[in-house]
Amino acid sequence: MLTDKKYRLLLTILDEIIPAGGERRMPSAGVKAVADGVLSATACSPASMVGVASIVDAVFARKPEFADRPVEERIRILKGVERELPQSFGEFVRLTYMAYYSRPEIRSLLGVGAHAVHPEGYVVERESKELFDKLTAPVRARGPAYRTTDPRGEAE
Amino acid sequence: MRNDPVDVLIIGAGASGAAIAWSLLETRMRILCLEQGGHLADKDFPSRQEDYELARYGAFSCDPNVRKLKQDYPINVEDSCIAPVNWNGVGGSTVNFLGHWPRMKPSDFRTRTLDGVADDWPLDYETLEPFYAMNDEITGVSGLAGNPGYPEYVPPLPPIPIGKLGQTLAQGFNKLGWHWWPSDVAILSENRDGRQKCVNAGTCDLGCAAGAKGGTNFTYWPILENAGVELRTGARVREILVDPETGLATGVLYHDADGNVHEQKAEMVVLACNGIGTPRLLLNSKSHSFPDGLANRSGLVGKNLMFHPLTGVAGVFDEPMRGHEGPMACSILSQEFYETDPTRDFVRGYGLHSGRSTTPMTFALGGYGIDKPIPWGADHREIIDNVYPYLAGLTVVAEDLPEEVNCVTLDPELTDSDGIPAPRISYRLGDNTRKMLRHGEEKAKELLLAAGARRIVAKGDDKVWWRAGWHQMGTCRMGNDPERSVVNGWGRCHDVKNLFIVDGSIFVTAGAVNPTSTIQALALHVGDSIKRNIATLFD
Repeated sequence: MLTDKKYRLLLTILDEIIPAGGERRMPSAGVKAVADGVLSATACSPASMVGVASIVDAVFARKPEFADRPVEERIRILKGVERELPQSFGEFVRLTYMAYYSRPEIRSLLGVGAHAVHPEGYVVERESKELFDKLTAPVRARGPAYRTTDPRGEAE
Repeated sequence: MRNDPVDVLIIGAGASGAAIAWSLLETRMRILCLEQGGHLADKDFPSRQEDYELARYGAFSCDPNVRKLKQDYPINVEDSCIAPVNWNGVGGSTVNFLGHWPRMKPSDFRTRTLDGVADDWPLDYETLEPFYAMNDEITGVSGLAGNPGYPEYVPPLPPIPIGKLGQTLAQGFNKLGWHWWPSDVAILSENRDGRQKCVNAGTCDLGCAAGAKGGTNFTYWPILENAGVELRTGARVREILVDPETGLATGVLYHDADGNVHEQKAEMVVLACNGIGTPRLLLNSKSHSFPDGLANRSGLVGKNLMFHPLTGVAGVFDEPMRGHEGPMACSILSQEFYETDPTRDFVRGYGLHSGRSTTPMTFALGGYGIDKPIPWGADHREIIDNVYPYLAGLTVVAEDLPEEVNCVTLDPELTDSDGIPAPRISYRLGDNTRKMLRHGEEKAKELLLAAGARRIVAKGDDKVWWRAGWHQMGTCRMGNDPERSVVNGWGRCHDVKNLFIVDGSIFVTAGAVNPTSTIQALALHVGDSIKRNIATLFD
């Protein structure tokens, strides 16, 4: 478990891992749902738990007031931690992506359905026979495209 | 639990075990299938949950070393550049396969004669063709008739939509004058036999909750269980037993779900455990008669392991490709570079498969089967916003050539939960394969640009996809010469006359296509041969 202070620091770190922005107004990863998702994923993996804690501790050790620093400096600090603890940092990033993108509302912002994909799925219009005929006409016009098994036979 | 002797004991309820059980139904023999996993309950399909993507990285990972479910066995992959993937349960890996269904081509069965590499199969395309057709009917295959890449055949159902992504790439292929065709898929484009047509969920790897995908849990097994085939789940076979006097298999020892050991006697044993599970079981079945493993007098059990090494290239287009909608691996397939061309620096060839793209989490984590997350920070924002929605990709699926150094052995230390030695994989890419993959990457880039991509996204290294070991072939190959093969031309072990193998391990060569339709056609062929030779089966 993280102290309140380090939990708030975790939120700030997450803000930089997946920043907000873009035309779709994507939110950053620095929200409670993602932080809790990361921490709950570590619950069944002691190694991941230690790894996540080590990232927060390393940032804190470098700059306790990390959240108050300009973005450029925060990025510089995180890149330093990434170099120092590549394996833990990689796992931390992986867990962040999983926690962030498992949220239906995030999928929805990217044009992917928020819903469970069964039973509804997606409506995809089937191509008409005419369209298939038109698209495949050049392929059919070139004739057979497999090789005969006669050893003297050339590729058709 | 009753262990009365049976006529036919099949080990494994996946693609091939189900198919041969169906073929043997008409003999009225008593058939028992032992399966180490269980049935997947309807409520357990992850795609019924809103956070379905998470399952890909846990209990529904394609990698048994990640899943670590009770029915899974670990696989030592320290000496391999590709990790084998599978599913252990009723349906086997057809539960989480992607349903791409191309047939092998006539030349695949004659690589020694045509190209001077590997070996010819002891059968040919024409022999298998009726079994391909039979299996397509039972499975419910969708596709477009008239593919010039094959001798003529007609898929039972019309094609699934190829979507905007497929149409875009098809126009690129046409511009270059290259072969392409809508993929044959083991996915229903229309409701059939009580199964629902595909709803384009895009989560084929998480099992198809609609039953649209032709996993044998939805195709063969309902028929088989209704017909009285006994399916015993939670039953993990430890060893095949042999009578030292007759040299015939007498049955097996297996563990039930609680780990208790039982003996099951049988007149005939059929192995259907895939290209890794089958050699593992044979190598673990040592006896005075077979000190190096059962049916292994040739020394080839476990040797010549073939995968289909994969790499991928994607293009970024101007409009959203909506690649998450529709079956994830199946849109269109090009076999322009499938056959040997003497002007290239490699023999045999590859396919260019247009999979669709995927959901955001899987994309962010590097893509399906790849553990290489995209960057964090500002680059992450840019890639997610300006690349992900606009992607269309091509996968290069290379034909692997058999090499004895690529093999399955038993790990001296690692075991499954019942103490059975785990398989150890030794596998490296051959020079021919590397050249083929490089060629494929360049051609894929050329195609994507011709189709209108404004930017190419390639891995930029020489590595193949890590979790690409879906197709496990060659480790008990068939042939007419007992010195150079494990089974004969109809799956019967040269060394043990009542022991048959029907899975991908009996492939002689790999082709450059997904193997399941061929695995099942072969299993039906073996079943048919057993019926035709029933009077002299064990002579």
